[in-house]
Amino acid sequence: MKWFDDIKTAESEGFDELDGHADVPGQALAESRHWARTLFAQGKGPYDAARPVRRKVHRATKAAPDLLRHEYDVDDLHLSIVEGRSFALVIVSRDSLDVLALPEDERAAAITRVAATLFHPVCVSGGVCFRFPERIDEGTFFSTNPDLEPRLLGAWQDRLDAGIRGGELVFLAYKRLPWMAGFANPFAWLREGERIDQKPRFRFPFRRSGAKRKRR
Amino acid sequence: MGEPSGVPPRGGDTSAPRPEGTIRIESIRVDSDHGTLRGCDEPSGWRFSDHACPEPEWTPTSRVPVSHTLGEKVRLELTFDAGAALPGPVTLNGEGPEGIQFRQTLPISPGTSSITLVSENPLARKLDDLSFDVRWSASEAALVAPAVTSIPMFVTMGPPRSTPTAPYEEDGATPRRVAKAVEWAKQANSLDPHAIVESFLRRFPYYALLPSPDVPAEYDHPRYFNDVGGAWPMVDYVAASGECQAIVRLVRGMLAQIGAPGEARILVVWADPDQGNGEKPLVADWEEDPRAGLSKTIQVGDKRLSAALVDGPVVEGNTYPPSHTRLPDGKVSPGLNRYEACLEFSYGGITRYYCGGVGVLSSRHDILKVFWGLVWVEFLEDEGYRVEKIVQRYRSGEAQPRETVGDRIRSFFRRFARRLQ
Repeated sequence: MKWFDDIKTAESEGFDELDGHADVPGQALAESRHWARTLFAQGKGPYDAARPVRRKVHRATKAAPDLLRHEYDVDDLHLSIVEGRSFALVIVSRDSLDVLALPEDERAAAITRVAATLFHPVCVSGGVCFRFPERIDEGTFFSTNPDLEPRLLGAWQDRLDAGIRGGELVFLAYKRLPWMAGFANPFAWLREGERIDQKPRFRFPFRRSGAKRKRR
Repeated sequence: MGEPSGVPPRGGDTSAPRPEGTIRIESIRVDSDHGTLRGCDEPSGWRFSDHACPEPEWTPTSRVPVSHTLGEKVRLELTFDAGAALPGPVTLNGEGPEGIQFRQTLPISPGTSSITLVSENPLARKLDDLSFDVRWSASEAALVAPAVTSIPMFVTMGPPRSTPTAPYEEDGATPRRVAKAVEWAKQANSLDPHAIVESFLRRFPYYALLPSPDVPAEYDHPRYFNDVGGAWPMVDYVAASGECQAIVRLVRGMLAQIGAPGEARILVVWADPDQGNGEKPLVADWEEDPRAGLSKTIQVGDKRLSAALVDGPVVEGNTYPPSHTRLPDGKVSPGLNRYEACLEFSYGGITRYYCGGVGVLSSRHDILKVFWGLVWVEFLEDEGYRVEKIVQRYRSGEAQPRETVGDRIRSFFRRFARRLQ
């Protein structure tokens, strides 16, 4: 999966510590907060006050895109959320939950429980959304809706992916803009003044707002 | 000085005003107001409150806003204390704003009485936010106290809605909301609901699709899903605009404040390569189907192709960066879309469409012309895409090679030469 490779490359290039929010453009920060509210259950997101959150940033290079990383504890779980412009990868530290150490027949239930705790209860409620494979092992990936193309989702709730990577439980949520086909440029997220929604629009020629110019 | 009338007083000079000849207004109730305003006790926020505004609307210590239908006469119930010594019937006159006049003969009896006053002429047929100041006077040497009473009055097309039906209660009437709706609707200089909606939409030159750092997070820009007024706080952050659905909610809310008729809906419009070769506009009501839009893929050999509506000229076989990537020359690359969101407003058998930043359209078919065309693309690893096939073009315009400074100079001279011909 390309985003995993991007994160690996970014980690090798290094993340910078972020003391405050000043180093992140206001637009990107507003988007990050918006998605935190959208994806995560009340009190579980990386911007909920009264919880120490360590933040890091990777600014786009030729090899890896813009990424924000939030590290914090929720309940008994230690989380790292790596956020790109179009996705949020939630990594549950193995120290706080070792899924592979559980008996095989308890792994799916444990994953469902964590998903229901962290995310807004739209898809993961009831614990029947993930289509689990027969065995959950290292490298196993599964989804709530594997048939849907992530670039064409009508809403993020339509597809939440998860898996075991490096022994850790990970969730992958797509920050989908429902009007858009595809994703925005991941290398241009933390660039000052970057916006994709105020796009230039074709105006229909039959309505004029100003007076006609007099011809000489 | 009034003319003597009725039973002549006993003794003394009746033409001279006396302290006891004072008509003291104790309260005024506007009987012809709609009685639908709520939340007069919470004047500062955009939130709806189901507390009815108190009556009477005027007392020596309080002024409560009212709403009133334009073009109708104003009916007041006035309670006054005439004291004990007025000699006989007195005519009470009231001069209101914009030529409104009240005249009523008071059958004077000692103590407190109530009368109904109906204005001799109706309110003007225009939306307004009036200070309904009435200057009172009386015949027969009587004084009226106070000489002027003021009631805030919103002049609307019909009753504002007292019981909200919208999920975020944007349609419930509060004085602050009615005042803002009247202020905005007045700019239309028309009572035609279409003109009013168009004037509302002129304030939002585009629909925002991403959160703005300029809007407090509690409002949940650009969706405005909040419990502090829903879409109403958007009026304080017009420049940041909002999602199409939020603007529709605001427009609906404003129309409900001024009692204007008409129906506003959120439409998403798209085309499908397999339906009429992409010529046919497909339409869904966003509130009924928020996932609607173009979501079509096909497998061609080893390629997985996705259908998309592209908003700028493209060429088959060419590769493009991700949607709306800013290019070195300052332009943005063509963007891929699943749909166009529009506000549909219907009234009086006429339906019009307002799509973000493209003007007013009169047919659904025109909405597709917002896009340049319908294409099959293959997404690339860097989130760019290659155009595999152009299925349909909705408007003219070829993908142009980048314009150079030389091209601009030549273009300028060509236009200059044409003018001289």
